[in-house]
Amino acid sequence: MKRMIICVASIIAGAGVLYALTGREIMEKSDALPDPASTESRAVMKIYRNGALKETKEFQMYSKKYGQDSRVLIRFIRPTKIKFLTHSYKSREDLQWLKTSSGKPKKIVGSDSGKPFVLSHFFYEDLKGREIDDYNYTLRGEESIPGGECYKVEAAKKSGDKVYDRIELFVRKSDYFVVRVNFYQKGKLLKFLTNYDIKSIDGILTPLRMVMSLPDGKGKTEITVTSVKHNIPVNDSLFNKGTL
Amino acid sequence: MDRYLRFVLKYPVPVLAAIITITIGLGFGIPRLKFDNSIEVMMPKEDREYIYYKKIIETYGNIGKFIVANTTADSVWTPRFFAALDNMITDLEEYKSFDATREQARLKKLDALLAGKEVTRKQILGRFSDDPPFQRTLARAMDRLFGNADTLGQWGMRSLRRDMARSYRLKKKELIDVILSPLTAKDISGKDDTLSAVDLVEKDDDDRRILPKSDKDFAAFEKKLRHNPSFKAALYAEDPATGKITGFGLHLRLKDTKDMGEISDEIWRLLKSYDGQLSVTPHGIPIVTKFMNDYMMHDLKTFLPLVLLVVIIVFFLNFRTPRGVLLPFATLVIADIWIMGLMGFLNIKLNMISTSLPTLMVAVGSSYSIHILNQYYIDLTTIMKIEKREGLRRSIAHISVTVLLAGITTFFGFLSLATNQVTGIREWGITSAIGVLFAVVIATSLIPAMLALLPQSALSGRFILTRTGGKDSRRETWIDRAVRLFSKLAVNHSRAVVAVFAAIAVISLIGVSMIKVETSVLTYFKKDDYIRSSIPEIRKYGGAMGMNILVDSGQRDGIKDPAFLRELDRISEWLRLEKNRDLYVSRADSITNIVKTMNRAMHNDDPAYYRIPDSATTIREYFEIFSGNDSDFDGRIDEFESLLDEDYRTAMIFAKMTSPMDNFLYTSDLQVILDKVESHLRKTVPKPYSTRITGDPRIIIALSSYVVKGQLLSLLFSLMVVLIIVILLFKNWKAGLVSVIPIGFAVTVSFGIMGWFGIRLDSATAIIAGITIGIGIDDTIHFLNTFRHFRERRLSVDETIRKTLSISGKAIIYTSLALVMGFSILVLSNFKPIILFGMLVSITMTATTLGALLILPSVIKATGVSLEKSKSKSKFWKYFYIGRFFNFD
Repeated sequence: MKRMIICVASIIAGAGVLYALTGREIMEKSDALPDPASTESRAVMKIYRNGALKETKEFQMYSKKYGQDSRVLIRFIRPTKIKFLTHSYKSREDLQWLKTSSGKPKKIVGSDSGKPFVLSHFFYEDLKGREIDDYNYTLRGEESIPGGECYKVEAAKKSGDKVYDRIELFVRKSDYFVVRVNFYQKGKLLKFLTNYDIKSIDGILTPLRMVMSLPDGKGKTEITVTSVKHNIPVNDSLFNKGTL
Repeated sequence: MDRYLRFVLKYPVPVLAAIITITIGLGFGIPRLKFDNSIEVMMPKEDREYIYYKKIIETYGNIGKFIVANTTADSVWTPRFFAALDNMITDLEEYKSFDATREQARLKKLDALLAGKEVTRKQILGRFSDDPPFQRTLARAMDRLFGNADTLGQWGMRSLRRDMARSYRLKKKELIDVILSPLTAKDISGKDDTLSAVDLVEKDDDDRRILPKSDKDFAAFEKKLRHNPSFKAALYAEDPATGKITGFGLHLRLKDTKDMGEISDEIWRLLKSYDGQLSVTPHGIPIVTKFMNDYMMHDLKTFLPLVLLVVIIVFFLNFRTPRGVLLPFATLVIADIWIMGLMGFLNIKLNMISTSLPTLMVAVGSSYSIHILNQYYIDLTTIMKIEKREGLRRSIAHISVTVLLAGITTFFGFLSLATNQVTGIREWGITSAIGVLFAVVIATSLIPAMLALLPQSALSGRFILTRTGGKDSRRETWIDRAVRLFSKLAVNHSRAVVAVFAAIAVISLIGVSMIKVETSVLTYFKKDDYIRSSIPEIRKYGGAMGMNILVDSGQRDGIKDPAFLRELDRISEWLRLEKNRDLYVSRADSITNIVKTMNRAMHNDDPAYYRIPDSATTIREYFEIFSGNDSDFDGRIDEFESLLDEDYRTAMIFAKMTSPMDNFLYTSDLQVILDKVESHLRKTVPKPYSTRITGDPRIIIALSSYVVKGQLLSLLFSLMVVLIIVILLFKNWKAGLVSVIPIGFAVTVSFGIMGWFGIRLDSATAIIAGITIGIGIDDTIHFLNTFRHFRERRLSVDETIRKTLSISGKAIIYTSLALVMGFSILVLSNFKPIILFGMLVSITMTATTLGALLILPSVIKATGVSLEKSKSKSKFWKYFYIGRFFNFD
């Protein structure tokens, strides 16, 4: 079933970290950008298909670091009440649970990396934290895009689930923040993520609007952060499977 | 016409050169011809049912176009069986998901290997030992192209490269939409508070399926299969007596494409290449269509030359001269090349109806050329007395006008079919009209041009004139005797003849009332044919056809309402009730199966929870957390796409239909079934829900209605056109009425025989009426124009009939004889429509001949109808009398 999301948090908390490292040095600088110890946020997800708004969802998200491990809870407020909980470990497989409004928490087994997250244009893979060493990076030049002057870095996953053949990260020269990501599948551009309204919140660069778009313009999912706080106290019990 | 004839006779060589050039040019179009026998070819594109069906296909995928195959072996629980099944599915997956990089690398590698002067099969296969799917693709191609040949030379290498390029292009289209099999299916399990969406057969890191090998593996796999009730009779088939699994189902859904034939061929070859390792029995509409294409192609190649051969022989027996054989033969062959080549260039595909075009060209081409030659031989004495070309002109001028008239009347008769709603019949109307024009042009150009060039001394045989006592005489043949008999009957016993034929027409009309319409293509196949003999294998999976019931909830996201899902369930259950066995619904799948499976999984696989949850929010959540791909990002998991629309408003129930044990469902059966289901839905489905049935059964029924109404109306319309043309041509409305009597008789007899002998009216047999008009009007015009010609010379009616029959009658008999004999050959075919076609064309020929030679003169004699030109000076005739264009004045 749905694999737990660890890094909607990462996107909201700092997508610069999410797509860290390129032609290794660039991506290391990007990866070195400040990362929050905890985050509490609220966001609205709007799904557009064929130019029309099809669905609006709202969710809350809590994340907290535990050393090199981390925990994330995504709690949908409307129209469903689904909860996703992920315990992410540096040295072993992640653990994931979900709970529907009427059922008991269920542990999720199996990989859903390439599958859509709540029927949006995001895959579970897009929401995961990425380890800098999991990829090989190649600098593909520099490009000026609406987000600013960028390094264009190609990343190819070394092993594990390869949802994409490769991804292209556009890393802003001014602050090493990733402003756009192109995702390729079977040699073709499948979709692209653009980060907008990038602001420093509590010292953390945070995009307040993220849009995952299809290249043919026929669909997109827009996540708008309505509130976000970094490095605040978050109750550990939130991340307990039993209290889901 | 006279000026044209002068031109042809003056410049025979350039005229022939032009004909040859056009023939060569259009000949290049013939290899471009493709077959398409899908039901969509026939359906009027503006039909509401068809538009709805196409719209539904856009939303739910190609719902009717699926291939079902039973895969089995002596024992299915062996590693060998699973390995073969896995290879087969892996090969099929290449047509589902195209990997451009991989395919290009394969071709590049192959090119390098084929760069030398020759290469062995072993070398080719060895070079791709690290790529088994492509190795198998190559092996299949080499088996097909070269049989057992071990070494490929330059030609062989080029052929192989071409075939691989074709295969590349086909794979690129990704025409297989869905592959469902035990090796590719997924299931949801929720035991021990753990939710897992698992492939029934898992994959390793290299994306290869980990196949069961030991008895323990097989037992575990069987347990997984039996875990989900919806897998039974879908993924596996049981022996009803023992309950043991005897075979696995393979279901391939194809995308909506105009080139269904090519992908169906490829899939068939791929599946059958595994014969020996396992037994595969593919079925479904794409396979049926493929068989139809193959049979028609085979019969066209085998029987058309045979028909031509028989026609040549009959030509020879009639004329006994080389030119008497070769000139008509050349006319009809060239006419065939022109029309088929033109169709190839215009990308008009051959189908069940248009396959009759070569036959039609043979018929009209023979007729036009025989009439011209016949006239030539009749006038030979005169021609020999004067300058050859002038003699030819005088002889051929009159008959050419008649041929032109016949051609124009037939042209408009066929062209009137362009108004038909059935696409295939409309296309046939236009192409056959053009073909008729071609035949007229060729007959009136080629034959005079050739006769102008050929020496007169080459004549011999039946028409050679022998001077005996200063009088011309010919050897009397049975044809002369037959014509004399017809003359005698028409002149002396006209009322009796009319009475006899009227009685035949009445008996035929009774037969017409018994005609059953059939548009289910399964009726085309003989009982022992694969398509019919394999039905029991496919019945194990619930059949290969189904109706699609669309249930509209009336609002966006309405599908997520438990009350709506329960309504869906209620309908599905009703369809499968014992009391509704006459619906032949074997299973009825809808989105409720998935929702119930999810609900059970979310409740630790407790069977009690295999039901629809009570909360709409829960159902919505199930849709959102269901593990699956959404390849086109339309908000529906791929598994949902055939079951609900993008707005989650309208759900589809796919009711798979089987058939009676030893038969199949006729169109009339389908009508009864759909009526019953519709009536039930109308009475029981509560507002605001609404339902509508679509799918192949609905289209088959709609098409059947078009075939009956559309084709018969078009037939009447064609007759009207013919009637009007003849009236305007002869300036006599009675001539028009008389002209349709023989055709009407022939059509009635053809349909009457169909009714009496249980030959069902379908898209193929319906076209016989068109051919009847084509040939019937030809014979009638020849008779009427010759009759008019002699009548204007103030001969008595009796004498005119005798004279007309002695000239036109013989030519008509020659033509009919050749064609009846020729088309009788078609009864040797293995394909029922071709057999019936041959039979009915032969009957039609006989009926039109009798109509023109016996009924027409008898009616004229019995009614005393005058066919003389009206003396009226009205403005109508001033503007609309078209005979003046043909020198009737």
